[in-house]
Amino acid sequence: MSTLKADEIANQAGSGDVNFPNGGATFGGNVTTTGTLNANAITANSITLGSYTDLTRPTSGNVIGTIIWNTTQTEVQVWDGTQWAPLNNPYTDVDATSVEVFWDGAADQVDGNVWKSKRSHPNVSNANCTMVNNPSYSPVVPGGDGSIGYWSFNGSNQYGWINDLNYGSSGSHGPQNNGRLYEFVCICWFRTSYGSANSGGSYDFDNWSWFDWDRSEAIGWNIGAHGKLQFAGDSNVTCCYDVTGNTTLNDGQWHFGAVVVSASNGYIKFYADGQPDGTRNNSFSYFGQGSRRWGFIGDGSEASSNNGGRNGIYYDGDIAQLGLISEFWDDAKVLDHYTRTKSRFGI
Amino acid sequence: MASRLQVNNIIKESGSGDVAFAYGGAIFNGNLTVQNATFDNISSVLSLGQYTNATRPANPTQGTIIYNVSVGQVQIWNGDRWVLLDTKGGTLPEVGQVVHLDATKTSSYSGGASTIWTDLSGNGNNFSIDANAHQGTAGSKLAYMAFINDTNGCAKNSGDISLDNEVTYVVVTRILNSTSTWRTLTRSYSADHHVIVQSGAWNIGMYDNNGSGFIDSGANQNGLSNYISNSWATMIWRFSNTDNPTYEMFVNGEKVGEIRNSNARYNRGFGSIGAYHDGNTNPNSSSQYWGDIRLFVAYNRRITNDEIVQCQYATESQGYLQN
Repeated sequence: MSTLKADEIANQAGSGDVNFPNGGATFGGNVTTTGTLNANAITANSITLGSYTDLTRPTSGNVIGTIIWNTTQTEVQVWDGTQWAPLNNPYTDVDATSVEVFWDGAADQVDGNVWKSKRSHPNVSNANCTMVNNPSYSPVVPGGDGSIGYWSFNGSNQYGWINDLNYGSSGSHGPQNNGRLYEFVCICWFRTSYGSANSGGSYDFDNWSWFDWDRSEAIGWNIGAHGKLQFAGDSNVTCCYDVTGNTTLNDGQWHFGAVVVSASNGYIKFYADGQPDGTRNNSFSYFGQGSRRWGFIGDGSEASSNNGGRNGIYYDGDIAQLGLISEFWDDAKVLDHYTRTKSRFGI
Repeated sequence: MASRLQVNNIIKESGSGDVAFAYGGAIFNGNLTVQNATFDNISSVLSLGQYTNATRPANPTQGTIIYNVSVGQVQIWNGDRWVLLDTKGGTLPEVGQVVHLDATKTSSYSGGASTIWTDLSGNGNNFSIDANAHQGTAGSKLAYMAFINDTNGCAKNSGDISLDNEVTYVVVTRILNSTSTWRTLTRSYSADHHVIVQSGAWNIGMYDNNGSGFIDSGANQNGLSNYISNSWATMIWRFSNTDNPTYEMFVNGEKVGEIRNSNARYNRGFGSIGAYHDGNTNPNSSSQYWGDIRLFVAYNRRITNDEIVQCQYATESQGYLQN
């Protein structure tokens, strides 16, 4: 193999570009340039991506991770193996294997007055939530990355009923399809300024509910007028716990609330914006001991069928993402979901 | 002096293929261009040129990437300005466009005291204006039409644009900050202000000239997110004959008002944009001026929620919301 050794390689004219017309170049070390450069290690004044339109960008033969500048969309796109995707690729899912229901506020998840369940229990065709009395849907959370919108509830008559999903005695759903929830997590991205912040306030029966399958029969997940996260339910041991988190969150800003209800750990543990917000130790094996109930968003449930009886309390505020996950989440898992989704809210 | 190899071409001995620099790197005082490049570990070895807000290139090649130390961001030149590398782009929906007027594009307003605001929808729905209305340099993303007084006038067509039932307006605008008179966005030559702000108040809605008068959407001009800063906003109105709802208003993707009333339906098209036409086709003889408009697009359909998001991405990434 021939080897050319030289300290400098220059154009024969003394200055100007040297051409490598019949192949590329492989560098075993660093390259420094004052111009534009593509190589293993780069120090360059600028990098310029190749420009393509929607029509001219290559549709096959791309290496995964290839990035281009799309002049039609005016954005950087990356080849993900099957398509050109925006570099901004927000996390719109939930990292869980056992999901009872998960709603995301992205515009493609809303059809008229129906909030479509992005994921739902395998035994229901869907757990869509049909809104009643016209809560309004905004496709974009202002200040966020544009990937998520939200529902606004007026606190006086607006709510939505959840299709088919039911819990309680002889209920159909839950991980064992018996209406019981053993290890589960309730999550919600929300914004409300209802009530008055009161860190000393006890569980109250106001501003119900983010979702609810009847506090005194199955479970209810909401924020009280004091502004603290609230959970209650009917377990195999007792009803209704009526526990709250520590931090008031009714400040008109977007927050992520979560509560982990764990039979194995014997606690109901709240999280505010990804951080632990109070642990309430209790013993139980499962929730869903009471009568079979169907669920609502924006009001409390007394329903023995789809869109049945309600409490008429009503939630005043906004909801962008909501879910009931039938598995245990530790601190890191809750924080992970918050961290992966917060940029959608400009946080 | 170090030894120097002076050649015009370097090729692999076999005639084609990669030339290896196996024992070190290279320093280039000029540009290097390759057909394809694979970065083994771009995160650990890619060092972008560092610039400040003041020193970054003013008009580089579209797609150029730098690191801006002033703001600690990787930025890319999108042909108009420096934006975050992961800024999501987009285009306005094309299906159903009836009128598309753009004060920032020379294809729509050519400058040079032109009195024609050219329709880009392909339907030939051009509007007449007074050249005084155009503010800024023709073709600049900062340019706009200021429909604020008789000197500037408004935009008029010789008759009503044919449009009814399911309709959407996508408008980059800022509404005139005054309650001294009505502020009309569009008006038919026969009847109805499809979008209007109430005189002596801030209420936004529509005006039904067939009997109901002003119908409030619940949105207030002085409560809009862009009001205090008087910044540009993407405002969208959707109309539907199903009355579920009849009229919706969005500002930067956020729903701010709605009407559920059959009297607020979109029954006829418009002949003037940016004011009430006062019953004539002279742009300077108008009243109820709306304010500033940078982009006005009308559709003969109700765009989807997804498309509202698409409009927001498009107007943001393409620089329409710059102050």
